[in-house]
Amino acid sequence: MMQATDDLIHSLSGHAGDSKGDAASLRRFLLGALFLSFAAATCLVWIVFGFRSDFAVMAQAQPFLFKVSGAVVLAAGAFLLVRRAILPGSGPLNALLLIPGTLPFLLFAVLDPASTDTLSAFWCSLDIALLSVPAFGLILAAMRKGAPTSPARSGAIAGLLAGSVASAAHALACHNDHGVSVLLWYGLAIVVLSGVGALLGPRVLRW
Amino acid sequence: METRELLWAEAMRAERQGDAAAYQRLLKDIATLLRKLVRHRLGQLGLQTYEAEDLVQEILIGLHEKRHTWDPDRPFMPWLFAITRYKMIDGARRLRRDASRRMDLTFEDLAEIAEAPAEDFDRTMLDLEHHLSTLPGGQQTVVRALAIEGASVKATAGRLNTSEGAIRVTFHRALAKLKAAALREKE
Repeated sequence: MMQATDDLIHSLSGHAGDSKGDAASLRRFLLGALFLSFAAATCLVWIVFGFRSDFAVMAQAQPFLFKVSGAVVLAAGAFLLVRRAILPGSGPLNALLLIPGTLPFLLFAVLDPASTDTLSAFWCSLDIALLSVPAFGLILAAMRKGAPTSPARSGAIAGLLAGSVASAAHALACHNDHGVSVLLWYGLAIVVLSGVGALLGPRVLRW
Repeated sequence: METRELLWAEAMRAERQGDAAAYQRLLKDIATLLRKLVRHRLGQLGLQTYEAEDLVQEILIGLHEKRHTWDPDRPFMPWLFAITRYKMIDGARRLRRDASRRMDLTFEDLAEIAEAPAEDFDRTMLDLEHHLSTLPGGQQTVVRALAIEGASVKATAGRLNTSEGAIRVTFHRALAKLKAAALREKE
């Protein structure tokens, strides 16, 4: 048995020097996947829903700024976690990194608590889930190049990142300008996508 | 730990330069550590330690395939720890799956056992007699006394006028022989 291990070691050592890339190239690759995810989600919004007709006005109004800043900061936090998740020993998967991204959403909900059409915005969640599909695929594919050592948690983080990217893109089309319902339905979409990621992780991210 | 960290990180850097000898030494050192770790863990879990070497090999292959994910600017041991932990959990899951598959019962199994003739027990005894008879006389006496009659080592030693240590040694030799015979028969 130990003989077999020695043989294995001998054959493995024959491959010294021909590993594929390094940690730095992996980080670059992941960043590329993130930009591509944003681009794909934005294109999809434009094709499927179209940008809001009052785009120029909207883009300077409070609701849009809250939505986009929250989603982008959340995506940044999730991105840092994904990076840690695929590079073993590069730091804990600390959920505190996600707190900054939740602040704009919470602030928006506090500033605009009286929402009338909370339920009608349920479609927001489904739209975000749809928009997240390309990002989800790209992020998981990129993660497979790394070595995620906790597949369920890594998958959950991937879902969170895909959901944040999709939320940011969705803001370009979204007519839901009420603080509480944005928090509710964007939040629901992101949480559900994380759950899906947690289920996918052990299957997709195994190595 | 400190020196090991430095040595192993150095060897990992050497590997990236294509230094096969340094990499081989590193893998051997890691294998020694893993072997100790995995055997200990499997023992704790009551799992068969003969699975240990398989698991050691899986961990080695895993760290070889993912060695590009180690950042040379970071310590090596935490990286090795994370990889090892992941592969050990994965391996334990596989062993558990294997065990439940082996334990899995089909209706035919049940029917077969239920309908097996009652003489099965006698056949087992006959097989036992048959195997025992292949042992040398001294070993036969000891196995009969300890395993079949259920006598204590002390009593047997007293009866045969020898030391307890000698009885134990004889017994273990006999068991090894019987085990080898049983394996040969299986094949």
